[in-house]
Amino acid sequence: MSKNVLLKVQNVTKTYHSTPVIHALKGVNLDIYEGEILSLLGVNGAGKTTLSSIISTLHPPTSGNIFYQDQSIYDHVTGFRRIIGLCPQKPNIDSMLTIKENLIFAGRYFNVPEDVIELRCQEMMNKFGLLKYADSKGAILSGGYKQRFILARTLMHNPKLVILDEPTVALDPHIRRNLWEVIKELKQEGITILLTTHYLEEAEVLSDRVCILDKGVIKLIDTPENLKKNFSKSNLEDVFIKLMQEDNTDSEDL
Amino acid sequence: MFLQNMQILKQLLIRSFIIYKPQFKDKILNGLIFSSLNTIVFAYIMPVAGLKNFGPFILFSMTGTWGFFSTINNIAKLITDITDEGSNLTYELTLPIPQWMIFAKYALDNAYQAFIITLLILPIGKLLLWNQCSFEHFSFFKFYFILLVACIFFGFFSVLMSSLTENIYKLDNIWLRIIFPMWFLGCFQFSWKTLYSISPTLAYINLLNPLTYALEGSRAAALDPNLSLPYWPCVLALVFASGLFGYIGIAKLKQRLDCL
Repeated sequence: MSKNVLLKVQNVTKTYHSTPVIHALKGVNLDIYEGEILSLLGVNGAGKTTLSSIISTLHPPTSGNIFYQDQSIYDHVTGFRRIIGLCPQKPNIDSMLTIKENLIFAGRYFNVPEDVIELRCQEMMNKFGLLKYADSKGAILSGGYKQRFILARTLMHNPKLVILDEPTVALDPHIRRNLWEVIKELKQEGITILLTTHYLEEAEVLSDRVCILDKGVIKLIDTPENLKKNFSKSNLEDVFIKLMQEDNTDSEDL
Repeated sequence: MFLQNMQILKQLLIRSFIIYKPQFKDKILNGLIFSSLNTIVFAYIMPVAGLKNFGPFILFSMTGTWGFFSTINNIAKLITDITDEGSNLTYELTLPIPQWMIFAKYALDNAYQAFIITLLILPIGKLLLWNQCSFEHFSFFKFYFILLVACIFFGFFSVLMSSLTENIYKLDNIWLRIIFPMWFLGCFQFSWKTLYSISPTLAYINLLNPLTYALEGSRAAALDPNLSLPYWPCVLALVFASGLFGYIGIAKLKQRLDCL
Protein backbone atom coordinates (compact mmCIF):
# COMPACT_ATOMS: atom_id res chain seq x y z
CA MET A 1 0.00 0.00 0.00
CA SER A 2 1.30 3.43 -0.88
CA LYS A 3 1.94 5.67 2.12
CA ASN A 4 1.64 9.01 0.38
CA VAL A 5 -0.81 11.18 2.22
CA LEU A 6 -3.63 12.27 -0.05
CA LEU A 7 -5.60 14.22 2.49
CA LYS A 8 -4.72 15.53 5.93
CA VAL A 9 -7.62 16.30 8.28
CA GLN A 10 -6.32 18.58 11.00
CA ASN A 11 -8.13 19.23 14.25
CA VAL A 12 -11.56 19.44 12.64
CA THR A 13 -14.47 20.28 14.89
CA LYS A 14 -18.14 20.67 14.09
CA THR A 15 -20.71 22.18 16.39
CA TYR A 16 -24.39 22.47 15.53
CA HIS A 17 -25.92 25.39 17.37
CA SER A 18 -29.23 23.65 17.73
CA THR A 19 -31.16 23.03 20.94
CA PRO A 20 -29.33 21.34 22.61
CA VAL A 21 -25.97 22.33 21.10
CA ILE A 22 -24.39 19.29 19.45
CA HIS A 23 -20.63 18.86 19.27
CA ALA A 24 -20.60 16.40 16.37
CA LEU A 25 -16.81 16.41 15.91
CA LYS A 26 -14.34 17.32 18.64
CA GLY A 27 -10.96 17.80 17.05
CA VAL A 28 -10.50 15.06 14.48
CA ASN A 29 -7.00 14.44 13.11
CA LEU A 30 -6.70 11.96 10.29
CA ASP A 31 -4.42 11.16 7.36
CA ILE A 32 -5.94 9.48 4.33
CA TYR A 33 -3.36 7.67 2.20
CA GLU A 34 -3.38 7.44 -1.55
CA GLY A 35 -5.01 4.29 -2.90
CA GLU A 36 -6.34 2.99 0.41
CA ILE A 37 -9.83 2.12 1.53
CA LEU A 38 -10.38 3.79 4.88
CA SER A 39 -13.58 2.95 6.68
CA LEU A 40 -15.24 5.23 9.18
CA LEU A 41 -17.07 3.21 11.81
CA GLY A 42 -19.18 4.24 14.73
CA VAL A 43 -22.62 4.08 16.25
CA ASN A 44 -25.36 6.47 15.15
CA GLY A 45 -24.37 10.02 15.97
CA ALA A 46 -20.67 9.20 16.22
CA GLY A 47 -19.87 11.83 13.58
CA LYS A 48 -19.19 9.62 10.53
CA THR A 49 -21.50 11.37 8.10
CA THR A 50 -20.56 14.78 9.49
CA LEU A 51 -16.88 14.05 8.86
CA SER A 52 -17.46 12.69 5.36
CA SER A 53 -19.66 15.64 4.44
CA ILE A 54 -17.00 18.07 5.66
CA ILE A 55 -14.31 16.25 3.67
CA SER A 56 -16.57 16.39 0.62
CA THR A 57 -16.91 20.19 1.19
CA LEU A 58 -20.67 19.96 1.44
CA HIS A 59 -20.49 21.61 4.86
CA PRO A 60 -17.76 23.70 6.51
CA PRO A 61 -16.04 22.66 9.74
CA THR A 62 -16.51 24.88 12.78
CA SER A 63 -12.74 24.93 13.17
CA GLY A 64 -9.74 23.05 11.86
CA ASN A 65 -8.50 22.50 8.34
CA ILE A 66 -8.11 19.89 5.63
CA PHE A 67 -5.04 19.78 3.41
CA TYR A 68 -4.68 18.32 -0.04
CA GLN A 69 -1.11 18.31 -1.32
CA ASP A 70 -0.09 20.57 1.58
CA GLN A 71 -2.62 23.21 0.59
CA SER A 72 -5.82 23.95 2.46
CA ILE A 73 -8.78 22.72 0.45
CA TYR A 74 -10.62 25.89 1.49
CA ASP A 75 -8.16 27.99 -0.52
CA HIS A 76 -9.54 26.46 -3.71
CA VAL A 77 -12.74 24.55 -2.93
CA THR A 78 -14.00 24.17 -6.49
CA GLY A 79 -10.62 22.81 -7.60
CA PHE A 80 -10.69 20.28 -4.77
CA ARG A 81 -14.21 19.20 -5.72
CA ARG A 82 -12.88 18.19 -9.12
CA ILE A 83 -10.78 15.44 -7.57
CA ILE A 84 -13.45 14.02 -5.30
CA GLY A 85 -16.68 12.16 -5.85
CA LEU A 86 -19.39 11.88 -3.21
CA CYS A 87 -21.91 9.05 -3.00
CA PRO A 88 -24.42 10.29 -0.43
CA GLN A 89 -26.35 8.07 1.96
CA LYS A 90 -29.60 8.78 0.15
CA PRO A 91 -29.32 8.44 -3.65
CA ASN A 92 -29.94 11.86 -5.18
CA ILE A 93 -30.66 10.93 -8.78
CA ASP A 94 -32.10 13.57 -11.06
CA SER A 95 -35.35 11.68 -11.53
CA MET A 96 -36.51 13.93 -14.38
CA LEU A 97 -33.61 12.91 -16.64
CA THR A 98 -32.77 9.52 -18.10
CA ILE A 99 -29.84 7.55 -16.74
CA LYS A 100 -27.76 8.41 -19.79
CA GLU A 101 -28.62 12.11 -19.58
CA ASN A 102 -27.73 12.07 -15.89
CA LEU A 103 -24.30 10.65 -16.69
CA ILE A 104 -23.72 13.05 -19.58
CA PHE A 105 -24.51 16.04 -17.40
CA ALA A 106 -22.32 14.65 -14.61
CA GLY A 107 -19.42 14.72 -17.10
CA ARG A 108 -20.28 18.20 -18.37
CA TYR A 109 -20.52 19.65 -14.86
CA PHE A 110 -16.87 18.67 -14.41
CA ASN A 111 -15.85 20.02 -17.84
CA VAL A 112 -15.00 16.57 -19.18
CA PRO A 113 -14.58 16.81 -23.01
CA GLU A 114 -17.64 15.64 -24.99
CA ASP A 115 -15.85 12.73 -26.72
CA VAL A 116 -14.55 11.48 -23.37
CA ILE A 117 -18.04 11.84 -21.86
CA GLU A 118 -19.50 9.57 -24.55
CA LEU A 119 -16.87 6.89 -23.95
CA ARG A 120 -16.98 7.20 -20.18
CA CYS A 121 -20.77 7.05 -20.21
CA GLN A 122 -20.75 3.74 -22.11
CA GLU A 123 -18.00 2.41 -19.88
CA MET A 124 -19.83 3.29 -16.68
CA MET A 125 -23.18 1.93 -17.87
CA ASN A 126 -21.45 -1.26 -18.90
CA LYS A 127 -19.47 -1.59 -15.69
CA PHE A 128 -22.48 -1.05 -13.44
CA GLY A 129 -25.01 -3.00 -15.50
CA LEU A 130 -27.01 0.12 -16.37
CA LEU A 131 -27.12 -0.27 -20.15
CA LYS A 132 -30.68 -1.61 -20.17
CA TYR A 133 -31.81 1.45 -18.20
CA ALA A 134 -29.90 3.98 -20.34
CA ASP A 135 -33.07 5.65 -21.64
CA SER A 136 -35.17 5.18 -18.53
CA LYS A 137 -35.87 7.89 -16.01
CA GLY A 138 -33.89 7.60 -12.78
CA ALA A 139 -37.05 7.26 -10.68
CA ILE A 140 -37.73 3.71 -11.92
CA LEU A 141 -34.49 2.20 -10.61
CA SER A 142 -34.56 -0.18 -7.64
CA GLY A 143 -32.48 0.57 -4.53
CA GLY A 144 -29.48 -1.50 -5.67
CA TYR A 145 -29.43 0.01 -9.14
CA LYS A 146 -29.78 3.49 -7.69
CA GLN A 147 -26.60 2.90 -5.69
CA ARG A 148 -24.87 1.54 -8.78
CA PHE A 149 -25.96 4.57 -10.72
CA ILE A 150 -24.73 6.95 -8.01
CA LEU A 151 -21.34 5.23 -8.12
CA ALA A 152 -21.27 5.45 -11.90
CA ARG A 153 -22.13 9.15 -11.79
CA THR A 154 -19.47 9.75 -9.13
CA LEU A 155 -16.82 8.18 -11.36
CA MET A 156 -17.72 10.07 -14.53
CA HIS A 157 -15.03 12.71 -13.93
CA ASN A 158 -12.44 10.17 -12.76
CA PRO A 159 -12.03 11.36 -9.16
CA LYS A 160 -8.96 10.52 -7.06
CA LEU A 161 -10.97 10.24 -3.85
CA VAL A 162 -14.40 8.66 -3.64
CA ILE A 163 -16.44 9.22 -0.50
CA LEU A 164 -19.03 6.52 0.03
CA ASP A 165 -21.51 7.33 2.77
CA GLU A 166 -23.17 4.07 3.79
CA PRO A 167 -23.46 2.84 0.21
CA THR A 168 -24.93 -0.55 1.08
CA VAL A 169 -27.47 0.46 3.69
CA ALA A 170 -30.87 -1.20 3.20
CA LEU A 171 -29.63 -3.30 0.27
CA ASP A 172 -30.20 -7.03 -0.15
CA PRO A 173 -27.17 -9.15 0.84
CA HIS A 174 -26.38 -10.24 -2.74
CA ILE A 175 -26.56 -6.67 -4.03
CA ARG A 176 -24.32 -5.60 -1.16
CA ARG A 177 -21.78 -8.25 -2.17
CA ASN A 178 -21.90 -7.01 -5.76
CA LEU A 179 -21.14 -3.51 -4.60
CA TRP A 180 -18.23 -4.81 -2.54
CA GLU A 181 -16.72 -6.20 -5.72
CA VAL A 182 -17.17 -2.84 -7.40
CA ILE A 183 -15.49 -1.06 -4.50
CA LYS A 184 -12.56 -3.52 -4.64
CA GLU A 185 -12.21 -2.84 -8.37
CA LEU A 186 -12.07 0.89 -7.71
CA LYS A 187 -9.23 0.34 -5.27
CA GLN A 188 -7.40 -1.75 -7.86
CA GLU A 189 -7.72 1.19 -10.24
CA GLY A 190 -5.86 3.32 -7.68
CA ILE A 191 -8.83 5.29 -6.40
CA THR A 192 -8.74 6.24 -2.72
CA ILE A 193 -11.95 5.41 -0.93
CA LEU A 194 -13.39 6.82 2.26
CA LEU A 195 -16.14 4.44 3.27
CA THR A 196 -18.67 5.23 5.96
CA THR A 197 -20.48 2.13 7.10
CA HIS A 198 -22.49 0.55 9.86
CA TYR A 199 -21.61 -2.94 8.68
CA LEU A 200 -18.49 -4.19 10.44
CA GLU A 201 -18.23 -7.21 8.19
CA GLU A 202 -18.15 -4.85 5.22
CA ALA A 203 -15.40 -2.77 6.80
CA GLU A 204 -13.41 -5.90 7.61
CA VAL A 205 -13.63 -7.28 4.08
CA LEU A 206 -12.93 -4.04 2.24
CA SER A 207 -10.76 -1.79 4.38
CA ASP A 208 -7.04 -1.28 4.52
CA ARG A 209 -7.60 0.68 7.71
CA VAL A 210 -10.58 1.38 9.89
CA CYS A 211 -11.19 4.50 11.91
CA ILE A 212 -13.56 4.11 14.84
CA LEU A 213 -15.35 7.29 15.81
CA ASP A 214 -17.24 7.72 19.03
CA LYS A 215 -19.03 10.87 20.17
CA GLY A 216 -17.10 13.00 17.74
CA VAL A 217 -13.60 11.75 18.53
CA ILE A 218 -11.43 9.10 16.93
CA LYS A 219 -11.07 6.14 19.28
CA LEU A 220 -8.79 4.05 17.08
CA ILE A 221 -7.27 3.92 13.63
CA ASP A 222 -5.55 0.77 12.47
CA THR A 223 -5.72 -2.12 10.05
CA PRO A 224 -8.47 -4.68 10.73
CA GLU A 225 -5.78 -7.32 11.34
CA ASN A 226 -3.97 -5.26 13.96
CA LEU A 227 -7.21 -4.40 15.71
CA LYS A 228 -8.22 -8.05 15.89
CA LYS A 229 -4.77 -8.98 17.17
CA ASN A 230 -4.60 -6.23 19.77
CA PHE A 231 -8.04 -7.01 21.12
CA SER A 232 -7.57 -10.79 20.77
CA LYS A 233 -10.74 -11.12 18.78
CA SER A 234 -11.52 -13.08 15.65
CA ASN A 235 -13.55 -10.42 13.88
CA LEU A 236 -14.02 -6.68 13.76
CA GLU A 237 -17.52 -6.85 15.16
CA ASP A 238 -16.21 -8.30 18.43
CA VAL A 239 -13.49 -5.64 18.53
CA PHE A 240 -16.09 -2.94 18.06
CA ILE A 241 -18.39 -4.35 20.75
CA LYS A 242 -15.52 -4.65 23.21
CA LEU A 243 -14.42 -1.11 22.49
CA MET A 244 -17.92 0.23 23.02
CA GLN A 245 -18.27 -1.76 26.27
CA GLU A 246 -14.97 -0.31 27.51
CA ASP A 247 -16.22 3.12 26.66
CA ASN A 248 -19.46 2.57 28.58
CA THR A 249 -17.51 1.27 31.59
CA ASP A 250 -15.28 4.35 31.50
CA SER A 251 -18.33 6.59 31.40
CA GLU A 252 -19.89 4.78 34.38
CA ASP A 253 -16.60 5.06 36.32
CA LEU A 254 -16.66 8.77 35.81
CA MET B 1 -12.08 29.91 -13.09
CA PHE B 2 -14.86 32.36 -13.96
CA LEU B 3 -15.28 30.75 -17.39
CA GLN B 4 -15.39 27.27 -15.88
CA ASN B 5 -18.07 28.40 -13.43
CA MET B 6 -20.06 29.92 -16.28
CA GLN B 7 -19.77 26.67 -18.25
CA ILE B 8 -21.18 24.69 -15.33
CA LEU B 9 -23.92 27.25 -14.77
CA LYS B 10 -24.80 26.98 -18.46
CA GLN B 11 -25.05 23.19 -18.19
CA LEU B 12 -27.25 23.48 -15.10
CA LEU B 13 -29.56 25.85 -16.97
CA ILE B 14 -29.67 23.51 -19.98
CA ARG B 15 -30.58 20.65 -17.66
CA SER B 16 -33.42 22.76 -16.21
CA PHE B 17 -34.63 23.62 -19.69
CA ILE B 18 -34.77 19.93 -20.66
CA ILE B 19 -37.01 19.36 -17.64
CA TYR B 20 -39.05 22.48 -18.39
CA LYS B 21 -39.77 21.59 -22.02
CA PRO B 22 -42.42 18.89 -21.39
CA GLN B 23 -44.26 21.34 -19.10
CA PHE B 24 -44.31 24.03 -21.75
CA LYS B 25 -47.79 23.23 -23.09
CA ASP B 26 -49.27 23.36 -19.60
CA LYS B 27 -47.57 26.67 -18.89
CA ILE B 28 -48.92 28.17 -22.12
CA LEU B 29 -52.41 27.01 -21.19
CA ASN B 30 -52.01 28.57 -17.75
CA GLY B 31 -50.87 31.83 -19.33
CA LEU B 32 -53.78 31.74 -21.73
CA ILE B 33 -56.32 31.25 -18.91
CA PHE B 34 -54.70 33.98 -16.82
CA SER B 35 -54.57 36.57 -19.56
CA SER B 36 -57.88 35.87 -21.26
CA LEU B 37 -59.93 35.79 -18.04
CA ASN B 38 -58.43 39.05 -16.79
CA THR B 39 -58.84 40.74 -20.14
CA ILE B 40 -62.42 39.61 -20.65
CA VAL B 41 -63.51 40.65 -17.16
CA PHE B 42 -61.81 44.04 -17.20
CA ALA B 43 -62.48 44.91 -20.84
CA TYR B 44 -66.00 43.57 -21.33
CA ILE B 45 -67.69 43.07 -17.92
CA MET B 46 -66.34 45.86 -15.71
CA PRO B 47 -67.28 48.66 -18.18
CA VAL B 48 -70.91 47.68 -17.65
CA ALA B 49 -70.36 48.42 -13.96
CA GLY B 50 -68.96 51.86 -14.88
CA LEU B 51 -65.24 51.13 -15.20
CA LYS B 52 -64.33 52.44 -18.64
CA ASN B 53 -61.17 51.89 -20.77
CA PHE B 54 -59.60 49.58 -18.24
CA GLY B 55 -58.74 46.69 -20.60
CA PRO B 56 -55.32 47.93 -21.83
CA PHE B 57 -54.32 49.02 -18.31
CA ILE B 58 -55.00 45.53 -16.98
CA LEU B 59 -53.42 43.84 -20.00
CA PHE B 60 -50.06 45.52 -19.37
CA SER B 61 -50.38 44.98 -15.61
CA MET B 62 -51.05 41.31 -16.24
CA THR B 63 -48.07 40.94 -18.52
CA GLY B 64 -45.90 42.42 -15.79
CA THR B 65 -47.22 40.13 -13.08
CA TRP B 66 -47.26 36.68 -14.69
CA GLY B 67 -43.79 35.99 -13.30
CA PHE B 68 -44.97 37.10 -9.87
CA PHE B 69 -47.83 34.62 -9.90
CA SER B 70 -45.48 31.81 -10.85
CA THR B 71 -43.29 32.50 -7.79
CA ILE B 72 -45.49 30.36 -5.57
CA ASN B 73 -44.71 27.32 -7.72
CA ASN B 74 -41.00 28.17 -7.68
CA ILE B 75 -40.99 28.56 -3.91
CA ALA B 76 -42.71 25.17 -3.52
CA LYS B 77 -40.12 23.53 -5.81
CA LEU B 78 -37.16 24.97 -3.95
CA ILE B 79 -38.58 24.17 -0.50
CA THR B 80 -39.18 20.59 -1.62
CA ASP B 81 -35.57 20.38 -2.81
CA ILE B 82 -34.25 21.93 0.41
CA THR B 83 -36.15 19.58 2.67
CA ASP B 84 -35.58 16.38 0.66
CA GLU B 85 -32.18 14.77 1.33
CA GLY B 86 -32.49 12.86 -1.92
CA SER B 87 -33.15 15.91 -4.09
CA ASN B 88 -31.00 16.99 -6.99
CA LEU B 89 -30.01 20.06 -4.99
CA THR B 90 -27.86 17.94 -2.66
CA TYR B 91 -25.94 16.75 -5.73
CA GLU B 92 -25.65 20.22 -7.24
CA LEU B 93 -24.14 21.56 -4.03
CA THR B 94 -21.19 19.17 -4.45
CA LEU B 95 -20.36 20.38 -7.97
CA PRO B 96 -17.15 22.35 -8.67
CA ILE B 97 -18.91 25.70 -8.57
CA PRO B 98 -19.45 28.08 -5.64
CA GLN B 99 -22.55 26.98 -3.76
CA TRP B 100 -24.14 30.45 -3.95
CA MET B 101 -24.26 30.03 -7.73
CA ILE B 102 -26.51 27.00 -7.35
CA PHE B 103 -29.10 29.17 -5.61
CA ALA B 104 -28.61 31.93 -8.16
CA LYS B 105 -29.26 29.27 -10.80
CA TYR B 106 -32.69 28.62 -9.24
CA ALA B 107 -33.46 32.33 -9.59
CA LEU B 108 -32.33 32.37 -13.23
CA ASP B 109 -34.38 29.24 -13.97
CA ASN B 110 -37.45 30.92 -12.57
CA ALA B 111 -36.69 34.09 -14.49
CA TYR B 112 -36.34 32.68 -17.99
CA GLN B 113 -39.23 30.27 -17.55
CA ALA B 114 -41.52 33.13 -16.50
CA PHE B 115 -40.20 35.37 -19.28
CA ILE B 116 -41.00 32.82 -22.01
CA ILE B 117 -44.67 32.75 -21.00
CA THR B 118 -44.75 36.50 -20.40
CA LEU B 119 -43.79 36.98 -24.06
CA LEU B 120 -47.03 35.26 -25.11
CA ILE B 121 -49.43 37.20 -22.89
CA LEU B 122 -49.37 40.48 -24.79
CA PRO B 123 -50.31 38.99 -28.21
CA ILE B 124 -53.15 37.02 -26.61
CA GLY B 125 -54.40 40.15 -24.85
CA LYS B 126 -54.16 42.21 -28.01
CA LEU B 127 -56.25 39.64 -29.89
CA LEU B 128 -58.92 39.80 -27.20
CA LEU B 129 -58.93 43.59 -26.88
CA TRP B 130 -58.32 44.33 -30.54
CA ASN B 131 -59.04 48.01 -31.21
CA GLN B 132 -59.56 48.78 -27.52
CA CYS B 133 -55.78 48.51 -27.15
CA SER B 134 -53.70 51.19 -28.83
CA PHE B 135 -49.94 50.93 -29.32
CA GLU B 136 -49.53 54.70 -29.64
CA HIS B 137 -47.10 54.99 -26.71
CA PHE B 138 -45.76 51.43 -26.87
CA SER B 139 -41.99 50.94 -26.88
CA PHE B 140 -41.13 47.35 -27.77
CA PHE B 141 -37.62 47.48 -26.35
CA LYS B 142 -38.55 49.24 -23.13
CA PHE B 143 -41.55 47.01 -22.50
CA TYR B 144 -39.78 43.68 -22.95
CA PHE B 145 -36.64 44.93 -21.22
CA ILE B 146 -38.51 45.79 -18.04
CA LEU B 147 -40.37 42.48 -18.23
CA LEU B 148 -37.02 40.70 -18.36
CA VAL B 149 -35.72 42.70 -15.40
CA ALA B 150 -38.98 42.04 -13.54
CA CYS B 151 -38.73 38.29 -14.21
CA ILE B 152 -35.17 38.29 -12.84
CA PHE B 153 -36.49 40.08 -9.77
CA PHE B 154 -39.27 37.49 -9.39
CA GLY B 155 -36.62 34.75 -9.60
CA PHE B 156 -34.60 36.20 -6.72
CA PHE B 157 -37.80 36.98 -4.86
CA SER B 158 -38.66 33.24 -5.05
CA VAL B 159 -35.26 32.39 -3.59
CA LEU B 160 -35.75 34.82 -0.71
CA MET B 161 -39.26 33.54 0.02
CA SER B 162 -38.00 29.93 -0.05
CA SER B 163 -35.35 30.83 2.50
CA LEU B 164 -38.06 32.23 4.78
CA THR B 165 -40.42 29.25 4.46
CA GLU B 166 -39.74 26.50 6.96
CA ASN B 167 -41.57 23.77 5.08
CA ILE B 168 -44.13 23.18 2.38
CA TYR B 169 -47.01 23.23 4.89
CA LYS B 170 -46.25 26.88 5.62
CA LEU B 171 -46.49 27.95 2.00
CA ASP B 172 -49.92 29.53 2.51
CA ASN B 173 -48.35 31.89 5.06
CA ILE B 174 -46.08 33.24 2.32
CA TRP B 175 -48.98 33.46 -0.11
CA LEU B 176 -51.43 35.23 2.18
CA ARG B 177 -49.03 37.35 4.20
CA ILE B 178 -46.54 38.43 1.56
CA ILE B 179 -47.40 37.60 -2.05
CA PHE B 180 -51.08 38.50 -2.00
CA PRO B 181 -50.65 41.88 -0.21
CA MET B 182 -47.72 42.74 -2.49
CA TRP B 183 -49.86 42.06 -5.54
CA PHE B 184 -53.08 43.60 -4.23
CA LEU B 185 -51.37 46.82 -3.12
CA GLY B 186 -48.73 46.79 -5.84
CA CYS B 187 -50.50 48.96 -8.38
CA PHE B 188 -52.04 46.08 -10.34
CA GLN B 189 -55.55 47.52 -10.52
CA PHE B 190 -54.62 51.16 -9.98
CA SER B 191 -51.74 53.43 -10.89
CA TRP B 192 -49.35 54.86 -8.33
CA LYS B 193 -50.51 58.35 -9.22
CA THR B 194 -54.10 57.40 -8.43
CA LEU B 195 -52.99 56.15 -5.03
CA TYR B 196 -50.99 59.35 -4.52
CA SER B 197 -54.05 61.45 -5.24
CA ILE B 198 -55.93 59.57 -2.53
CA SER B 199 -53.16 59.32 0.06
CA PRO B 200 -49.58 60.52 -0.54
CA THR B 201 -48.43 58.70 2.61
CA LEU B 202 -49.80 55.38 1.38
CA ALA B 203 -48.27 56.06 -2.04
CA TYR B 204 -44.82 56.65 -0.54
CA ILE B 205 -45.13 53.50 1.58
CA ASN B 206 -46.09 51.69 -1.59
CA LEU B 207 -42.72 52.60 -3.08
CA LEU B 208 -41.25 49.99 -0.75
CA ASN B 209 -43.10 47.33 -2.73
CA PRO B 210 -40.92 46.23 -5.69
CA LEU B 211 -43.97 44.99 -7.58
CA THR B 212 -45.04 48.61 -7.92
CA TYR B 213 -41.94 49.26 -10.06
CA ALA B 214 -42.55 46.19 -12.24
CA LEU B 215 -46.11 47.26 -12.97
CA GLU B 216 -45.59 51.00 -13.21
CA GLY B 217 -42.51 50.44 -15.38
CA SER B 218 -44.39 48.07 -17.70
CA ARG B 219 -47.19 50.57 -18.13
CA ALA B 220 -44.73 53.45 -18.55
CA ALA B 221 -43.30 51.56 -21.53
CA ALA B 222 -46.68 50.74 -23.03
CA LEU B 223 -49.21 53.44 -22.15
CA ASP B 224 -49.01 57.20 -21.70
CA PRO B 225 -45.81 57.61 -19.63
CA ASN B 226 -47.27 60.65 -17.86
CA LEU B 227 -49.72 58.37 -16.08
CA SER B 228 -47.03 56.16 -14.50
CA LEU B 229 -43.85 56.42 -12.49
CA PRO B 230 -40.85 57.22 -14.73
CA TYR B 231 -39.50 54.20 -16.59
CA TRP B 232 -35.76 54.13 -15.84
CA PRO B 233 -36.05 54.66 -12.07
CA CYS B 234 -38.44 51.69 -12.10
CA VAL B 235 -35.81 49.59 -13.88
CA LEU B 236 -33.14 50.69 -11.41
CA ALA B 237 -35.38 49.98 -8.43
CA LEU B 238 -36.02 46.45 -9.74
CA VAL B 239 -32.30 45.86 -10.30
CA PHE B 240 -31.59 47.06 -6.78
CA ALA B 241 -34.38 44.88 -5.32
CA SER B 242 -33.11 41.84 -7.27
CA GLY B 243 -29.62 42.34 -5.86
CA LEU B 244 -30.84 42.91 -2.32
CA PHE B 245 -33.39 40.06 -2.28
CA GLY B 246 -30.94 37.74 -4.02
CA TYR B 247 -28.14 38.55 -1.58
CA ILE B 248 -30.31 38.05 1.50
CA GLY B 249 -32.07 34.97 0.10
CA ILE B 250 -28.86 33.22 -0.91
CA ALA B 251 -27.15 34.10 2.40
CA LYS B 252 -30.10 32.70 4.33
CA LEU B 253 -30.24 29.52 2.25
CA LYS B 254 -26.50 29.01 2.67
CA GLN B 255 -26.90 29.40 6.40
CA ARG B 256 -29.90 27.10 6.49
CA LEU B 257 -28.19 24.35 4.52
CA ASP B 258 -24.86 24.91 6.29
CA CYS B 259 -23.02 25.62 3.06
CA LEU B 260 -19.42 26.70 2.63
